Formats: sequence, C-alpha cells, structure tokens
Amino acid sequence: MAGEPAERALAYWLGQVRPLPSGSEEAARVLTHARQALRLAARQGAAPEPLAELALALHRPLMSRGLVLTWAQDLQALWEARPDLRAAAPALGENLLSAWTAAGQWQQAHAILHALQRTRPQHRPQTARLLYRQGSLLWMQGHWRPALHLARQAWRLAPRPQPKLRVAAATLLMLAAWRLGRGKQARRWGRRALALCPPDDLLWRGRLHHYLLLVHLPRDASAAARHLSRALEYLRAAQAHLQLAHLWADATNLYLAQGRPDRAAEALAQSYALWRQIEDPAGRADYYRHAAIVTHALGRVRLARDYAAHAAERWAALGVRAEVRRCQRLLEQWRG
Amino acid sequence: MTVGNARPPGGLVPALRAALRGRLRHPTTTWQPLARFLPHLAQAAQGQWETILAQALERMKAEAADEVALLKARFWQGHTVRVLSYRYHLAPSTLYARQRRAVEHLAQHLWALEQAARRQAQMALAHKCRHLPSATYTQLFGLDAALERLRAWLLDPAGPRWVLIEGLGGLGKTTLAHAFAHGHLEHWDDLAWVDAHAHRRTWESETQPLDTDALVERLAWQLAGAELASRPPRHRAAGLRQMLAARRALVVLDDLLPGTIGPMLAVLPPPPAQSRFLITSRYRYPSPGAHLPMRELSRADSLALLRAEIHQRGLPELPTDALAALYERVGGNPLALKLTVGHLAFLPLERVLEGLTHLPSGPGEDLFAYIYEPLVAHLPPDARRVLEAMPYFAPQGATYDELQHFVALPPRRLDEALYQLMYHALLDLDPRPPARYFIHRLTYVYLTHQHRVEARSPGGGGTG
Repeated sequence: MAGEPAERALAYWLGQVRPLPSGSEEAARVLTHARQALRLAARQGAAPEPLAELALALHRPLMSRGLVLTWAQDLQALWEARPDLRAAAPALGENLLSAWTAAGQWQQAHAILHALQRTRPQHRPQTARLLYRQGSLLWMQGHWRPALHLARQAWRLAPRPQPKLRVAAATLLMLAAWRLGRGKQARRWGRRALALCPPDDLLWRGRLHHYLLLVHLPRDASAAARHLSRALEYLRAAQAHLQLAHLWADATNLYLAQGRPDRAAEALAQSYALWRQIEDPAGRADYYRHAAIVTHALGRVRLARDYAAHAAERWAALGVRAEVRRCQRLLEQWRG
Repeated sequence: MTVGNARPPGGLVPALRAALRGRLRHPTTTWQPLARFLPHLAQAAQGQWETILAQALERMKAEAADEVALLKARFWQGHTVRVLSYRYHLAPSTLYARQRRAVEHLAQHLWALEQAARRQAQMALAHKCRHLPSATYTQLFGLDAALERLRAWLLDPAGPRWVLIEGLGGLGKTTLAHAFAHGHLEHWDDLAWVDAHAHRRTWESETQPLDTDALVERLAWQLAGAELASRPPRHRAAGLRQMLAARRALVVLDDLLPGTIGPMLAVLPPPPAQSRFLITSRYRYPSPGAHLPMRELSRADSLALLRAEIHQRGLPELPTDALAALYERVGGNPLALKLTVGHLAFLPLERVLEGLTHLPSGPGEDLFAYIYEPLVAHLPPDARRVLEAMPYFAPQGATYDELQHFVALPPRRLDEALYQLMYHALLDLDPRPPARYFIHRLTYVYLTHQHRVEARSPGGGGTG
C-alpha cells in the first residue's frame, strides 16, 4: 500500500505544479497539497527520483510566491530525512541554500553551504555555482566587496554553454558593483546579463530589469522608468509575487525622483499588499525603509522616523550592519 | 400598481389602516404594530416611524401626488371626510374609495422600503462576516452550556474583556467560538477572526504560529485595512487599541500559544471599551480571568449524538441502555462516537460492544486504532482507494475534480466511494466553494501510521 499511492501522488502533483494554475488562490492550494504529498511520500519511503523531481519543480513557484521560510523548512526536513536525495538531485542542496538565504536565516544557510562545499566534487560548473551562491549569501548580509570577488570568480569559472549560471554571476556582479557605488561597472554587467538571459526566462528577465531600474536611477530617470515597465511586465507574467513586492518598493525611488510622492505612496501600498503574504524578513525590513522615505516626502516626519527606526531594528535583528547604517543615516538627516 | 418586485404581506394594509386611524384619534399614537411587518425598516430607523412614513410618502409623491395630499390632509392635518368631500367635490363614498387605494399604495411603498432595508441589513451582515470562516458543523452537541456561559460573559457590558477557551485538540474549541460569533453578529459593530497558524499548514509540517506583531498586523488589516496594518508596530498597536476602544468589535484569536496571549491582551483597551477577545488555545494560560475549559461530551450529550448519527445513517434505533453501553466503552469524544456508529452498519451491537470491551489499554490512540481498523478493512476497494489518497492532500482537503484525477475513478464509482466514506464518518465535506473533502487529523494519523507499518514490513513495498 505504501509505494503505490505515494508515487501516484508525486506524479499527480508534479503534473499539477507544471504548469501551475493562473488563479492565485488555486495555485496556492496546489502548492500546499504538493508540499504535503512531498513530505509524506518522503516519510513513506518513496523512490528518490520522483521525490527529487517534485521537490525541484516546487522550488521556483514557492520562492517566487515568497514562501521562502516555509519552503526552507520543508526542504531541510527532506534533506535530513532522505540523505539518498543528495546524490539523486544535487541541485536540492543549492535550492535549500537559496531558500535559507532568502529567508534571512544566515546560520542555516552557512551550514548548508559548508556541507555542500565539503561534499561536492570540485567540477568547474559546480564550483562556479557554489561561488555564486556564497556570493549571494554574503551580498544579502551586506558584505558587498567579498560578494563582488566571489561573483567574479563564479563568472570566470562558469562554462560558456551554461548561460543561466553566467547570467546569475553577471547579475551578482551588477548588484555588488551597484552597492559599492560603481555605477558604470554595474550598468555594463547588467547589459551583459540581459544579453545572455534566455528570452523565455520571464522571472530572471524581470529581475534584471528591476535591478537595471536601480542602477540607472541616479543618472537617467527615463531609462529607469523604461526598466520599471519591462520588469512589471515580466514579473506579472511570471506571477513572481516576491520580486514584485521588491519592485514596487524600489519603484518609490523612481517616483520620488520624478517629484511624484503620491504615486510613490501608491507604489508603496502595492508593495505592502504583497509583503503581507511573504516571508522575506530582509525584504520586509527594506519595505519599512522605503516607507520611511515616502512618508517623509509626504511631510509626515514623525511617522517617517518611526518607520526608519523600525527598519533599523529589523535589519539589526538580521545582523546586516550596512543596512542598519543606511537607516540610521536617514534618522540623522531628519533629526537636523 | 405594485412597487418593487414583491407584493406586501396581507396583514400590512389593515395594520397600516389601523395605525392611521389611531393617529387620527391620538397624534402621538404608537406605530409599533407595523414593526411586525416591517422589522428591518423599524430597526434601521430605530423606531422613528414618522420619518419612515415621510420617506414612503415622498417616494409615493412622484407617481401619485394627489393620493399623498389626500393622506396628509386626512391623517396628518386631521380633516374629516365630510370636509374633504366638499373640498374635492366628491361623494364621501368616492373619497373613501380613493383613501383606501392611497393606503394600499402607501403600504406598497413601505414594503419597498422594507425590502431595501432588508437588503442593506444582509449586506451589512455579510460585511461583518467577511473574516468568519465557514462552519464545518451542521449540528452542535454538548455546547449549550458553554454557549450560555459565553453569552453571559461577552454580551454583558460589565463582563470580562476576554474569554479563553482551553482544551485539547478535537474537543470543539473552534466550533464553539464559531457558533458564538456567528450567533451574535448583530451585537457587534465588527468581527475579526485570526488563526494563529497560517493557512499554509500541511499535515506533516506545522507552520510557525504567528507572533504578536504578525497577529496585531492581521487584526489591523481585518478591522482597518492597509493604512493601519502597514504602520510600524508601535503605531499599529496604538491605532488598533484606539479602534477597539471606539467600536464594539469581537475579535476571535484561534489556536494561540501561551506566549502570545499576554501581549495580545495588552492591545485590548480597558472599560468602558466594549470590544471583546475570544481566544482558543490548546494550552493553559495561568492568569486570572474568564477561562472556559472544554471537556469531552457528557453522557447525555454523547447519547444525543449517537442517536442523531444512527438516525442520519438510517440504522435501526437503539434503546437508551444500548447507547449508554457504547458511551461507557468509548467515552465522550465526538469523533470516536461517530466512528463507532459506523461499526453498527455491518456488525451487531453485541459484537461491537464485545470488541470495545477487549481494548488493549483504555482510551486514546489504541481506541482509535481499534475503531478505525474494521471500518477501513470492510470498505469496498474504491472507497479504500479514495481514503488512501486523502493523506496526500493538505488538511484543507481535496475538491471533487482533484480526487477524481488523483484516484482515476469514473464519476459514478467515485460518488459511491465518497458516499461510503462519509457514511462511516471517515470523510467530511466543507461546502465552502470550492467544496472540499477532508479527513480528521486522527484519521490521518491512523492512515499514515498504517502506511509506515506496512512500509517497514517485508511485503510493504517501501524503499526507505
């Protein structure tokens, strides 16, 4: 009785997850059922291949819906309960690392990273992927210089026939350069990443346009606006709630630069409506920083200060000192 | 002429006529008898009948201004029929006939206003229910005393500000809270319902319960929307407190952990605020206050439940001593009682009782294993196939289509299987759209435990 329903369940839910229904609630239901089937089938001793297949198929939809902590916990349970999956699907370990990273759980992320570094055969593409993952983790923690260094190594090692890995490395290079204030370098890497990105990868293209909005904003608001509208187009098509929540928050910068604080407030509200359902603590902290800036632009200084103080608290809880300093600078500016 | 879609009830015209005549004799006459026919209008206008009648006359004026003038002259200005006959150059009998028609038309307009007030009241009620989950029960057993206690506490303006329903899972804490909230909607300006465990829960992985900040945020979202919910926590909690002080809201906090109960109570404003918290928890909260412990059903309630289940399944009625014997062996757990009735569908009472006598060790999981085993073993293959599929769906349950695709049975065979499972209380239906079939947690535990045992056994087919 054990094997048959478990494997039928895995096959059934795999068919439902690829592709997901377009209705948001229906998709959420399918994902919850599929998570349940995955966990139970793993416990019931289902074969590793269909288990790994469903786990891999679930990664992107759950991450882009912002259920990053839920998914990290599910994957961690699977990782521990079924060591046989590690060999059957090495990508699961990387997915677990990326889920813990997105969930702001640095300790767990580093633990998985070290486990992967210890066990992985040192082939070039795998090494490049791990360098990229490590760089992303450090970038999230606000360590932009080492992130840049690791992204550069990942780029060098990433084989040309693997465009997704090269796109990922180039994207991290763009983001790290941007945070280090190297705008020209960031724009160059952004263009390169966009040129390499497969046209059917809506999610990644949307993310690239989003980051290009940020990179272009200080010098060219109209280019930033063009990237915003492309990013919205791609991310809506990909139903990428998490990235849309980030995008709307960052769009407030553009609207404020254009002298449209009311539009910025609307974008902030759009962002909040998505953040409510999302488990990304770093993104949520950043939302509050944006809320502080928009509220200040609307002339509500006291509330703006409270937003900034709360953002600083959230970043401090995550241990990201660079972001805490950014919020504190806002508070200092507004004190004067 | 009829106004609106429906004709007024038969008694409204005579009642209106009597009230108008009464007004003629005593201008301060009571219009209260009309409330019997126009309850929503009376409630909406809070007894201001003169205003209601003025509204109806105003509506009527557009199509029958002469009738309105006649009614006003006759019943508000108090002119006699003789005076009005003279004024309008009409015979008194003609004037009476016109007056009768005018009263009928007025009744129609009042009825149209009543329909509008009813629709408005329904919309207001629906708005108030917007966060209330659907009921998953059709009949309540053993909750009368608890409901009475909740009424005495929470509807009393001088009563406790919060009530904590405590007890183990499966005893009906959420059902009780739901029945109370749903049954007294009219008492509250608004209703919030927050489940501390998010909806992403699966059987295998309980999600992290919401912390205090997240609970406050959800409450603020439900009662005030994004503007308050998106504020920093300090502002948000202060705003929520103000709102709870200004309105009379019932807040149900379902399945709270003890650590969040105290901080949540700090959000509740002190008297004279009339908002109330109704909290359910599987844990005891050691603080003085209104605690309502939930226990298993009493003997009388258990017997009532057994009778209802036997009746519902079309089984022959059992005498009270037979029901009492079942209760003595099974206890007052509602699910255990329902499942035991399932045995009576294929075993004589004596055999069921005999089996229950030889339980390995008292109530608990052994009891359930004993109860489930023969039920599952006697299921027809299709029903068994559907039941075995259920653990691969999250607790929220599977839609008909999902089940059909999953188990690959033609509709008629699936219908029969679903009927069998529901008959034996192994499956329930949540009718909220999309309607979903779901199993009880104990059924899940039984089924997956069985799987585990079989997977470990040599012929189990498991690979882990």
